[in-house]
Amino acid sequence: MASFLGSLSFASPLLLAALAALPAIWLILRATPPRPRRTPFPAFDLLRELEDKQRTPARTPLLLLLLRLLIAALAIVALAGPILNAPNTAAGDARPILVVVDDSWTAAANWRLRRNALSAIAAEARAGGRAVATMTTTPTEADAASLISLMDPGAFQDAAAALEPKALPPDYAGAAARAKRATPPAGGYDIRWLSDGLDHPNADDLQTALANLGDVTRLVDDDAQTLFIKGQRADSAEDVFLIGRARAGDRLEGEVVVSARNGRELARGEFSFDPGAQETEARVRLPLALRNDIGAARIEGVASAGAVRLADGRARRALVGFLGDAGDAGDLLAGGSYIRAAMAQYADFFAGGAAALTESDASLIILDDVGRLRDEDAERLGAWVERGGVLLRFAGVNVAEAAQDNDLPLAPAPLRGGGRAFGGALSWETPQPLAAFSEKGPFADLTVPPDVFVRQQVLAAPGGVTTERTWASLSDSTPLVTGARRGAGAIVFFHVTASPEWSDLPFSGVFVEMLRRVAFLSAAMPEERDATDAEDTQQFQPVSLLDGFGALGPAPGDAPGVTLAEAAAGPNLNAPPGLYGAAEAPIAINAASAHVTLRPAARLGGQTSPYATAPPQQLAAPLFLLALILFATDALAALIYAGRAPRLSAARAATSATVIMAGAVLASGGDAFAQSPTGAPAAPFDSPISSTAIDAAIATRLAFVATNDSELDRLSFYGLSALSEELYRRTAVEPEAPQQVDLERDELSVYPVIYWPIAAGMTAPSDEALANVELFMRFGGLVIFDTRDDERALPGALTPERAALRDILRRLDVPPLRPLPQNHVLTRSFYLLSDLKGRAGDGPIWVAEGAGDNDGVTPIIVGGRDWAGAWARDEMNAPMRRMPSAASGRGCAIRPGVPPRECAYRAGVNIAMVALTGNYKSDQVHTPTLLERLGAQ
Amino acid sequence: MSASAPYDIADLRRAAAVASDGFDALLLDAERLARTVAAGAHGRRRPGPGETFWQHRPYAFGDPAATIDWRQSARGAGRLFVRQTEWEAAATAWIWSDPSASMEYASDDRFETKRRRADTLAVALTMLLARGGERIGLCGGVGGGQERPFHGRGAAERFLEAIAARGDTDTTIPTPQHVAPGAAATLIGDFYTDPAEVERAVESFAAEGAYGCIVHVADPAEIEFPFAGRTEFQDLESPARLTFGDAAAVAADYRAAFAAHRARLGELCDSLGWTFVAHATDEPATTALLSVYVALSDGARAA
Repeated sequence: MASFLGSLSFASPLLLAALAALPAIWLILRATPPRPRRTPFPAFDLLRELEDKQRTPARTPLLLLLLRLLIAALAIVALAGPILNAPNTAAGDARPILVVVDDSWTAAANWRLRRNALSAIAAEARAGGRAVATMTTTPTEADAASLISLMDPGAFQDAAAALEPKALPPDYAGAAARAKRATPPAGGYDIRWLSDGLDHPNADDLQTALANLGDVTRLVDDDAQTLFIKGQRADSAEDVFLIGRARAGDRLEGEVVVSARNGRELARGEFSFDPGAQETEARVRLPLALRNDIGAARIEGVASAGAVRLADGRARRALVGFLGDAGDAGDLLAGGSYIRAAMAQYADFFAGGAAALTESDASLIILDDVGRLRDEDAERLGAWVERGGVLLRFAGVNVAEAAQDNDLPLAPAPLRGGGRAFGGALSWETPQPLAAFSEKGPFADLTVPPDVFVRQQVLAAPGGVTTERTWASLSDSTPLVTGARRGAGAIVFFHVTASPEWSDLPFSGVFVEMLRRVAFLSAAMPEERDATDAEDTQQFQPVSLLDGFGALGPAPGDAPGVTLAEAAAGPNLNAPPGLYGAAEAPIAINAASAHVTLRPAARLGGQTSPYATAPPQQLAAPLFLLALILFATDALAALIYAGRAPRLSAARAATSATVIMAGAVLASGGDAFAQSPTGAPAAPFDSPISSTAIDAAIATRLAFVATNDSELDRLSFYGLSALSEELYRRTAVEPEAPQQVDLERDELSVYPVIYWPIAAGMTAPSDEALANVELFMRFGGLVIFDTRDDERALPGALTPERAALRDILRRLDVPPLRPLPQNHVLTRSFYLLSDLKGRAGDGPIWVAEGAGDNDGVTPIIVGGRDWAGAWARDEMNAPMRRMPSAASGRGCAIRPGVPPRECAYRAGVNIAMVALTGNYKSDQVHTPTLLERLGAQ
Repeated sequence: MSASAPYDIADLRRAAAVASDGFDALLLDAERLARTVAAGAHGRRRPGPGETFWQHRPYAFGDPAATIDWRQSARGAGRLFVRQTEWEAAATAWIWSDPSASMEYASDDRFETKRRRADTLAVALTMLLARGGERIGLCGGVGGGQERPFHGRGAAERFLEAIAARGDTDTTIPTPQHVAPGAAATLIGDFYTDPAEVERAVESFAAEGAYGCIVHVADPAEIEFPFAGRTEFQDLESPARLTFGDAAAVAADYRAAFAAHRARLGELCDSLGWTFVAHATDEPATTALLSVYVALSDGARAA
């Protein structure tokens, strides 16, 4: 209480004399009664007869009286201008003040205290007309060279406002040297040392040097914990952060926030200091995929460069990108899962398109059985390899197919065409064992396992280049692995699948070793850079630098670069903490390191004093506000007393009170809010989903590709509408109205079937559109290409529609096709059909060959039957296109007599059922029925 | 709007619309109210001229042949029956609704004003009675009771017009007037005036041979007297004011006075064989209407 009163003073104490007038106010208030409540009353005559029991006016109630007196007293006190923690201006000292500021990161966490102290000193200097000089203990080169100079208080205030903590450790030796050069004025300085309270090297020197200049008062902050991150180590599953503190105090708990390089928060790890302990750990468990994304870790709530740990790019794991699909971890048929299992120890995986992969940080891109590449993608990947990436390709049916018709780009050796050459046409009777690793390749030191046999492979064209580039070969000296350096990177081709389908290699331990060698072929890999010796003089320019508060900012243009050796030496003036080198794989210099040990500077002695805890505070405003609130309360109470607010319920009264209080808090607490730290950047949001996609996701809808022929679009729409109706009528599928899709922009994954009518001379779809379609097909979609030209088609001739289709398919990565076989699931999925009839002709229908990615369900149907034309009905339910007579052509069903249009609907229903149920019907469930019907005929 | 002032047509129309709006609603209220009470003309429970079948009587000499119910007669063996209808005689009902300013009061938005409740009751009663074929007269109308009573289908509307035309007066009791013997009188109001005057007025009706009932309409605040603290009461009919230091202190006395007021009215009715209905505006109007209707029916039967 005494200390509180001691720090309270008044700007104009004379006004307090007005408090003596309070008794007079009491008397005046007492004499004026509150106004009566007025109400009309019809039964007035009855009242007239009543005896008037209380005609005399009531006195003001005591409670109201006291409230009003309190309001008056508050107003008087507020007018007197009370100030809390007013600066002590009563000093006759005229010596100039020398302010020594510890501005290393150790002082950053409680920088507010320094600010308060600086403004207090400025106020004191202005009041006493004293000159001020400043000196920091983490001097820049320019500072260290200059002499200590005196300023007037105004200039000092500006200089003090510009003082910010630095991300560097303190340089007491430099500061002491500077102090020694200074000459003290007569009578010496009045020295205020705004210290961080810690014992740093050469503290004694500085103390002595300052003592020679005048009387030193060291301000210390005894409560400061000064938390910092000493280091980081990565376990197999966890990242462990070492946390240190300067004072071995009580138990202390906190959290380490791990954020990505874009500032997004990834995870939090808790830490807890035992009483007396100065070190502890925080463990953060992150999914493997996110560990490479770590940009920085910081102790939450501590604004100091020491509480930030920047992640060094060299610690990152290899990032492996899959073109297309990375495969599920548990899917033992997918090659991706074997690759992932082999590389999981040192790599993180992700999947994407060629553009995304090449722009990412991936050091290795895997093409698992990817056949045709669009020219643009091939160029992109090629350029990326030239820059230092490693492209790893595995063979498979698609590659075999693609190798058949053209010179496969991005292959180390020319492949021998002929997808059908393998299997039956292979030149061996028994599977061939792995025979040798080439001396020239990276596998030279591996031992050849005896138990690896290869059953199928894609052959390379024999010749000089192939022999030269073979890294591993079979016993018949055909290559198993070929590889070639391209620019800074390399292309490696495994002539077998990554799954055990073609060989035993994926089961073998040597597979793991081979992939490891391949992964670290990359020039961008950390291993190689680590190997650079200390004499390397390559300079890494700073990308972003830490400030004292631990915030990363862009590096100034003139910031010096560092060599690896300098970076390893730790932070100093020429190598300030921050990120250096390439933004993708930066070299980090951290403010604090494992060598840093902080302890309180208790041994220094000298005169110390604590920091002022609070800045001077004007109390008039809150007092006036309180008086105002009480005044409002008084008005409310008077109303209630007068019976004016009989229906003002307790709830409403509480609401009004809350509103008033909230207003008061907002009015007074503005600076309390302003002190909240600036948060991390907001997490990026996903782009909004279009409403059509939402519609299609909610209800099943068939889709058709928009052409630039409105008549064709109309026909497609009505065709699919009629098919939807038939599906609704006949099956459990209840589709909504069909949707027209734009391949360039629309999300396709929400549709089960996309009907793509090919028009002659249509504009070719862009690469993005084709990538969109590829993705759609790869993840279970079904595309129906309909050239609608069977009527006009002549054997061997190319109709314009087919030419357009060929142009599309040439650029699209489609699985190998074959004519629709008898008993294909498409003919059995709902109706038992012999053919998928449309409106036109009997031309062949092509579907994907063999068991592809989607459980053997074909992702593509190519034909010229004009299905939509056969299905289409207009608003009046009348067919829009004529059908050929039933007599022409074969029927569609096992039994004859089904009308042609009905055949077309049955074909459509079957296609839709395949798209929706996959190979559900491809088992033999219909065999008994089939036999029975055949028997009945 | 005085006649000397130039007519502002728009103002007039607006005022008319506002006024008729209120009346429409009141009519509707009254109609809804009237429908809850069994409709129809009350018969005299004796044969006579009327519409409804009353009884079959064996043919007696002198009955006009046209009265013979041939169908009924054909059922019996050799006897002729005459069809008789119930005598439905129209009586005149006089209704008085208190036009004084003290009726213009509602203590809460939830309640209607007493005037509105009284008028609703009056109009609803008019509807009911008109439907029963009675003739209805308004006591203290513009013509001072000289105009002829209304009857027929439009009686309710015309009665309402008459009430509206009456305007604000400060008559707190019905003026005595000549009524036919056997007529029914219904007086609706709050009767805050000299009890002797009330007695005189009611007795003048009774002296003419009328039976009837008194409906005392009161606001809940008048009954409960929920006031407390320093309160100034204003009279609605005069500029007089009364201030009480603590209204709660006189509440008990007031309630006693109010009860006495009602009791006085009740005794008056008892002594004349009339019916007294105490009604508060927070109660549904139906109860009061039913009481009045039953009282009038019983009175008519007794007469």
